Parts: sequence; structure tokens; C-alpha cells
Amino acid sequence: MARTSRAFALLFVLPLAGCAVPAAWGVTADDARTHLVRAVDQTQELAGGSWTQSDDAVPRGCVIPPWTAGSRASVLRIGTPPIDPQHAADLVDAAWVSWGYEVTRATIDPVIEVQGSFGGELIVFRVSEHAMSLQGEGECSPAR
Amino acid sequence: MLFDVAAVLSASVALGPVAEAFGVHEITAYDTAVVLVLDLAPVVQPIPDAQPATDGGSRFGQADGVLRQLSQISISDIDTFVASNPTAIDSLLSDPPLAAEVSIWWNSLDGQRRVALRSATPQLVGNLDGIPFVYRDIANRSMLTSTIDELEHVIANENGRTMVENAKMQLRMLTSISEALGGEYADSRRTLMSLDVRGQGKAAIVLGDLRTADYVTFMVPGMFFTIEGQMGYWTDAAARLADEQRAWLALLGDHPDASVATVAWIGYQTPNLTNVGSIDNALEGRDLLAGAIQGLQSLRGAEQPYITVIGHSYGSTAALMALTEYDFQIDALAVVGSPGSPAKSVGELHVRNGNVYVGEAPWDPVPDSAFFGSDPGSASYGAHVFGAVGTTDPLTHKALAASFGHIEYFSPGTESLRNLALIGIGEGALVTDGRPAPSGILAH
Repeated sequence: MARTSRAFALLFVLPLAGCAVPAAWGVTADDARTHLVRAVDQTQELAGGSWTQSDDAVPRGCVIPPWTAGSRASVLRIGTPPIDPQHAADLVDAAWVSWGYEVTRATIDPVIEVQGSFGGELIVFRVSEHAMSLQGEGECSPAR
Repeated sequence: MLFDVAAVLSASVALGPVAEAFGVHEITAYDTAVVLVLDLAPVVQPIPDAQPATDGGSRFGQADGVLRQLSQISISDIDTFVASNPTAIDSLLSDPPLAAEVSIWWNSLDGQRRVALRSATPQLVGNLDGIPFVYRDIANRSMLTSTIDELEHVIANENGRTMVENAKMQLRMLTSISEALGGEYADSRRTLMSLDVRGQGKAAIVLGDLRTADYVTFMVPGMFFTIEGQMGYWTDAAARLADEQRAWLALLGDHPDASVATVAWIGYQTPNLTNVGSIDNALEGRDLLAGAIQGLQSLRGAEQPYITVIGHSYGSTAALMALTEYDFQIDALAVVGSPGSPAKSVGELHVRNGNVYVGEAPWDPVPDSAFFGSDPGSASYGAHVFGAVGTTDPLTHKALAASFGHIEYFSPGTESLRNLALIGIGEGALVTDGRPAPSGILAH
């Protein structure tokens, strides 16, 4: 449960501290969704441009160790290209690190990819001279 | 009602010959009301070729008898015909005519007859390749709902323990399909492309619109996949792949307005521990997958999408056999965790431009086994080997997400999922081979 405890702690660091923190697995479905959406929304603001929201309304399945069925929210956003893709990637990278995310980065030329994980939450930011994208899946929480 | 039928009918997206026959150019969502409008509208221009042959022979191949009767008997007799010929529909579905012939037959029917057919035999309308997907979706959802109602009635009212237990098992299976369609979230972007409620069940759920998508990816699962256990997982994987493809299309900028559809296709009985060594299930998968793809190609006419098949595990064997033994061609094939097939090289596969890719995750014992013939990952096979191990961050030198084991190829954020998405949108040149980026771009 170390990962969950860490995620718990970080929840209070982010501007999500006002969310109710449940007792059992760590986060409720609503909390997990709120955390994901807020992080993505803030990343959009940071990167600038205008964005189209195509979030999937249907939660995706996941497993809470060892065998409990859970669900997780997902997001898909497509944004207009920034003036400087490299700078946008740097901004997002630095912000996510400051928010407590574990960040990795790769280049699939001509696209820069930044991945941030926060407990079981995963966000992928990609940027090119044509567009930006944000995809993410939230922390796994017990299925309703 | 979420949208205005009139507005829908006045918009403009091709629905192929059906729409043209009704003077309708666009439907933006699969909605019962719209389909009813289409059904009840008069057929302006019946397709001449659909008329039965005057010599008494077949225009529809082996299964012509049933289709011809269904198009010729009085509409009021359709119910009776179906009820008095209980095996006719099953036989027709197990040995169907060519999808192109079905399309012609369907287009020859007037709206009232289509409504009557859907009501009398939703399993036929829902599963016969060549019938437009909008009708199939309605028929299959109707079949799903009515079967669930019947099972709930059995569970509530029957006393026989075996009957009740069987009903509960079937209900769990069908509920998993209902949930994968969105359940309470009711996502209109999901289409129930096919449905077989018998036994362990079969189903295919589409994310996106097969009528208009520029890129279509069929995902074919392998052993141990059941509807009850994996319909949700497989649909999630299809949703994830569609998201990934939409993002990459925008990022690459070549076709920013292109659309995608992904198909969570559990359209055959996958093997379990008792029969995984047999080729029989793969033969069924081969035939049904071929029918599904040919059905799509038939309906899309001159507006063919870029079609990709992703075969996982035993599903890759079924896919490889379909692409060897049937005449149609697709644009790309990706196999992951593959036990192989009789085909010995890429040259034997009906895949354009040699767009055949093979992925193998660490700790997956199935690839390299060549259990059903040649190993598609071997150098002599000629396929591109793509990375599923996770690349290394060139700046931090940390490992990026890898796929481990036999079922992790579709996990979010993995190199494998990214590569599969790129293959499905014709961007194989960007596929990575698992080596550190950026030098890890797969050489072609």
C-alpha cells in the first residue's frame, strides 16, 4: 500500500485538498476523476492555446490489488499548437514535477511526449508544431 | 431525445446506397427514431440488380433460399416464416452469402419489410455482414435487451435450480456487454456490431462510426477471452486505442480531420485450457473475421477506410489465416504475443505494402513458440518488429512504460499501445523498436 499512501499524501499538496478523502482504497471515483480533470485542466491553461474536449464518458475498468474490480476516468483533449513546442513541453514537465508527479520524457520525432504518473493516475502530454494533446486515466477506485 | 431528427436528416454524411435511396445524407448518431424514419420511408430507387434471377437460380449464393423467401413473402407472414423455420436463420448465419450480395438484397427491401425482419429475427439483421451497421446496432441492442428481460423473468419465476443457474450465468455474460456499451453512461458513439447470446456468447463493439471513419482497426483477442470476463476490458482497450489514434492524427498534422473507429471484436469463440492446442477455434475466427471485414468493405463502396487488424495471441493466428486464405486485402496487420500460423512470410499475407508488424513483450512465453506454424517474429518472416519493452528517456535515462507478460500490450502509456495506434493510422514509419528514443525509430 506504499503507493497509495504516497498518493494520499500528495493529494493534500495539490489544490485538491478540499476533496473528501475516503477511508478504504484511497480515493473515491469522484475524487479520482476530480484530481485527474483538475490536473489536465491546469495543464491546458499552462500550455495555452484552445482545446477540444473529447473525454470518454464511460469509465474504464481496472484492478485494485489483489483482485478487486475498479474503474477509472479517462480524458482526451486536443489543443492548438504552441509557438514553441519545446518550451511547452518544458513548462509541463516542470509543473508536473512541482505537483509531485513522476515524469518521463521521450521524442518520437516530430512529437515530444511527456508522461506524468501520480500514484495510479497517468497523464500523457504530447506536442508538435501541429497540435498538443492530453490523455489521461485516473486512479483506480472501487467500482460502484 | 438528444437531437433533432429533422436536423439530422438535413445534414450531410453519406450513408451509402441506403441513404441515397431515401434522399438522406447524414446521420450523426445511431438513434432508433432516425432508423425508424428511414425504415418507414418509401424506397425511391430499388436496386435493379437485387431482383431474383428469372431462371430460378441464385443471385445470393448458397443461402439464397432463405433470403429470397424473406424478400418475397408477405410482410405479415415474416413472423410465421421465422417461427416455423427455427433453424433457417442459424443455418444462414453459419454459412452466409457474400457481404456484397447481402448489401444488394438489403437495399432491395422496402422500409416496412426491414422493420418486420428486425422484429421477427433480430439475430439475422444484427449479424449478417453486409447489412448497414446502423440497422445491426438497433437489432442487436433490441436482442440484448429482450434476452436480458427474459433471463430476469426466468430467474424470478422458475424453480428449477439448473435452469436458474444457467440463466444467471447467461445474464452475467449479457450484462457485461450492456456495461461495455456504456451502461448508465449510454455512450451513443458505441455500436453493437454483432451479438450472439448463446453459450459463452460473441459480440463486437465499435468505438466510432464505421460508416465514415477514415481509419478502422479490428482488435482480435486470443485464448481465455470470454464475453463475461473480457468484453469490458477489450472495449476499454479499443477506446484507449481510439484516443491514442485521434491524438496522433492531430499531432502529425497530415490528416487532422480524419476520424477513427476501433472494433473490440470478440466475434469468435476463443479457446480455453482444454482446447487451446487445437486450430478449430482459429478456423471459426478466420471465417467470421473475414466476413466482418468484407462486410465493412462492401458497405463502404468507393469510400474505403484504411483497415488494420490487431491480432493478440491466438487471435493473431485466426487473423493470419484469414489474411492468407481469403482474397480481400487490408492495409496493415499487427500481431502481439503470436503463436504463429501456417503462413511462412509476409509475402503470403494479403496486407498492402508489407505493412506487417510483430510485437513481443518481455516475459510473454507465447511469441517465438511458432505453435501453429511459423513464428511471425522470426527474421525470415519479414515483418517489422516493434517495441513493447518501453523505450528509455534520453534525458533522464529512466525507463518508459513497458508491457510485461501476455496481456499488457494495451495498457495506457505503454510503448506497445503507442506503436499499435501509429500502425493503425498508417504511420508505421514512427513505430519504435524498443531502443532508446529518438534513435529507436523503427528502420524501414
